[in-house]
Amino acid sequence: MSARPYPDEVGLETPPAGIYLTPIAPPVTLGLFGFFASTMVVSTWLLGWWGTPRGSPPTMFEIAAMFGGVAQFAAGLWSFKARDYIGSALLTMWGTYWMAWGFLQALAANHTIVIPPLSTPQPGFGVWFIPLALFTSWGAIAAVRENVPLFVVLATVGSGSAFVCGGFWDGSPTWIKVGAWLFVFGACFAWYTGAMVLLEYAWGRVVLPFGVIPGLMKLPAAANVPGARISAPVEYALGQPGTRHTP
Amino acid sequence: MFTEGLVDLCAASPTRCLAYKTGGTEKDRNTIRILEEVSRVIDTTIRPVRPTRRPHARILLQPLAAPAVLGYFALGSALIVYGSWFAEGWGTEKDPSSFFPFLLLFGGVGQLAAALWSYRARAAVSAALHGSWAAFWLGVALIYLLATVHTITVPPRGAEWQSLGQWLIYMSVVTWTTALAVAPRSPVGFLAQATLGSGAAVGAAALLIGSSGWEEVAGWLFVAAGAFSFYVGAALMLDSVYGKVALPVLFGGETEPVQYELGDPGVKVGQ
Repeated sequence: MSARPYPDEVGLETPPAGIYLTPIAPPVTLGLFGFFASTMVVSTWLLGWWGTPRGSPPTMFEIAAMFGGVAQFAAGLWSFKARDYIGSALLTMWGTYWMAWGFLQALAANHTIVIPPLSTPQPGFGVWFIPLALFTSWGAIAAVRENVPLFVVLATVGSGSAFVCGGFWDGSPTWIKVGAWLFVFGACFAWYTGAMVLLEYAWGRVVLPFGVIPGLMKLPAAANVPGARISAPVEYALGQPGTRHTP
Repeated sequence: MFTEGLVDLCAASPTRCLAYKTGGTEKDRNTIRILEEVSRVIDTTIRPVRPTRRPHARILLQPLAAPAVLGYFALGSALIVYGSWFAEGWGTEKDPSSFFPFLLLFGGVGQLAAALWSYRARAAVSAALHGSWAAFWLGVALIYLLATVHTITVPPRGAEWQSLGQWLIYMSVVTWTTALAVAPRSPVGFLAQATLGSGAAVGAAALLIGSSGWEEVAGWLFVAAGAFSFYVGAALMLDSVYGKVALPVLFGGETEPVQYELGDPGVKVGQ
């Protein structure tokens, strides 16, 4: 039995390759909204604004795991399609954090494990804030080319992660609360950034200023001026969703 | 094998190249053989990126059915069922054990699917609104699942429930943001989302202070928002199917889809 001969491709030209750019809605808004809500609820609890200091409320983690976790993770995955390096890496990673945190809390609610009070060192949990601080801070450096609100989000959350890491590692409620304050600050900017992107996309013009430093960041200075148009999406206005730009 | 390295060699040293092609001296052939081998190794291991012309790129627009139809129907279903129960319009404290699977799949999974398809539909508000509320219903259903299996206890209606109240604060903020975004395009969409945002705010206050009266108000606001959601979903569907504005919902809602009417679904609009 003779071997099957390879097809003779000599003389065939390499087929021409085409690059297709496919527009999608900005995924970063849902991701940042999930981060905003989850971080606000948990950080304000850590700060003692509500709830009881003994253990996290057993009805708090479920929505965090879904909104900060699943929804933010899905938005991170769609950020690959949007060719968004920061969103695809950071939203996805913070989504995995919130899902893991929810899993941990579910085990505690089921009395499978016991989560000690904040004054007890928890290095096995705190150590995870080292990679969170590192990649979020790298994201902040990358965001220097994007816009000021996103930079503030990532810089405050990255540094807050470092404080929270130290707090859980050492069993120091004070350091944890310093980190929680930074998280609250970063979460408010996360809402602003998500709303800023959403409103510009939906209204077709700047509504909330982008905080662009001209010359340093990619967007034009007009992005700081409410009412200015900074995008001109390709669309077939009479078509179905997907072919036209919809809010 | 005439590799790129040899091309460079021929360009740099025509004499050696000629020697290679015509036989040349033994020394020349050895030199050429070594260079050829080095070129092969470079080509197959650390091949540099060769400068090419910038490729021609096209923007590909792909039409699809509006995911907001599913999103609003899923959201409306969850709001009407949960809102009317939350307002103490029906049922007892045991009923979440039987309705949470539907909350999980109607308001959660169904709406999340709509949210993720909204990215492809370039519908930013739909993605943010339905993604946020899908996550909320997934979480609420998970709470009632854990309560059903007696892992946690859930406060009864009318009692203080701080953690859910906290969540509703931020759901209200998110929903008012999406309402503001959709306002210039869809007044009915704004109405649905503004009502939902108001219901979330009132619900948050009611749960934080433990007021059954305010919970009732919040619950019926959820029901109203659910009714508006059904209207928006139905309008988007009917407008598309009938090819004209059947139920007014959008400014400039006229559409003329690109299709080949004798083709398969996807090439033509609908079945």
